[in-house]
Amino acid sequence: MIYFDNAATSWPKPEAVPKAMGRFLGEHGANPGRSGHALSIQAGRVVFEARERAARLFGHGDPMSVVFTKNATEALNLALQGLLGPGDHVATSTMEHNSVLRPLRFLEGRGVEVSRVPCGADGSLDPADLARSVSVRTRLVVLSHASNVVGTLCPIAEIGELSRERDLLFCVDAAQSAGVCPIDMAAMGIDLLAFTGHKSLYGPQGTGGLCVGERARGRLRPLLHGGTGSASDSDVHPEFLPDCYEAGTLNAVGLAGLAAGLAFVEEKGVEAIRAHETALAARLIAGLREIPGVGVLGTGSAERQTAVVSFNVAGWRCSEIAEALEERAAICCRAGLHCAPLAHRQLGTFPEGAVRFSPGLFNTETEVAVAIDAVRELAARPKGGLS
Amino acid sequence: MSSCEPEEGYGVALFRSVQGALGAERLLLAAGIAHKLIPVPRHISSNCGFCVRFAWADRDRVEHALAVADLGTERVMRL
Ligand SMILES: Cc1ncc(COP(=O)(O)O)c(C=O)c1O
Repeated sequence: MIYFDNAATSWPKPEAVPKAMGRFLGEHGANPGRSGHALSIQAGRVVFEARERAARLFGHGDPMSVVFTKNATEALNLALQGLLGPGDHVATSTMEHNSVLRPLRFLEGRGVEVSRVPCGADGSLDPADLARSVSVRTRLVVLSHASNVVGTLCPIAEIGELSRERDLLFCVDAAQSAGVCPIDMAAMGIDLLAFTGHKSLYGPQGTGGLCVGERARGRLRPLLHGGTGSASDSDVHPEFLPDCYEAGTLNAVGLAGLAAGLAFVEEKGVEAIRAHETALAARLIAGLREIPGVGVLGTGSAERQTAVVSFNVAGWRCSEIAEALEERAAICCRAGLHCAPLAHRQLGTFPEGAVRFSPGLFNTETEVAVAIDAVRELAARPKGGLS
Repeated sequence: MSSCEPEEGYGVALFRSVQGALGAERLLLAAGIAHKLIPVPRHISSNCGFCVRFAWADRDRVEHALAVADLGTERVMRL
């Protein structure tokens, strides 16, 4: 079996991840931070380790302002719904995932003004276009670091600088880039970094977070209010980080897995992981482009994108391709619109969508070669599904 | 147990939340200052969770070590 769906969730996980989760449940699976006994303290240490590792990986000095959520979606909702109110303007792009687009659509109904800046046909954003959309009422710029449809990278540092110049907050959706692209919140001018634990950080599903930078502190309303183990003499929700955004018992077993995933990333090195995935993407792009009838989306350059390679095959529906690839070559990939309707409109692939190959660290060049051959075989025999 | 008690007795550092106590543990480990995470004494604070206990003789070193980060330290006091 060839697993090419790492953009949806990474699989397999490094051995240390399920091990850490098993150890957590078996040895000290108490409630982190609610009680004072040894098991609760040990559980707290595990969660704190995840905070420290995430802070370090993202160039974000302060573990106390790493807020854990159940995924990137919740982190983005916290950032967007927590910050924006009637009369505010927010700038985003057409390449965003629904986890940004839908909260913004919802907020539009509540008096927030939204600009969706169009990207190029390869998914790239021109910072000058974004700059033109900014007005005196703009409070926030929110962009994905890497597109989940075509992998195209956003010029984050440039936009971070622009946000500083215009005194805006900058929120980055790093769901597709965290763990595989270098991220330095301070150097890149990122105020809010939303990440998910289950993709290139190799944690389990149900983990994610929001790193809250200096300039964004105290500016987000919490999504949830409730127990935090702190300020227990009061029925008023606390206002300090991270407790103010972490009401309710955390997914501590999941965070034990995430801590192990983060340790794995640190040990391998983001640069080395990126180099491996870029090599696979380069091969895929080159191999698929050579096949008559195959159209590869995106920049065409592995350096300008993550290892997310989407394509269509003349004469086939993307869903038929995915099904045939699984049947004939046991390739697991994803076809369709990838929760990014505006991106597919921009790329000219709406409403059909595309086939997405997203190899990861555990894939090999041999698997890439097998996949290219499998696509070549299908392309040679159009099914006529699209007639 | 009391035979092990330091001459000047113990102090505790209390934090707004256990995250602060866990951060403090890291800093004290790095600074090589003996300490222990203990349940928050109920007569001192209504917070759930734990705080950091140390030998009161180390008070200055502890305060110095904790000053480098914003841990939400509420109080450092003699036990
Ligand atoms: C770019 C992007 N943003 C956000 C998300 C949402 O992540 P999650 O499903 O973990 O909330 C995803 C992945 O699905 C994504 O690819």
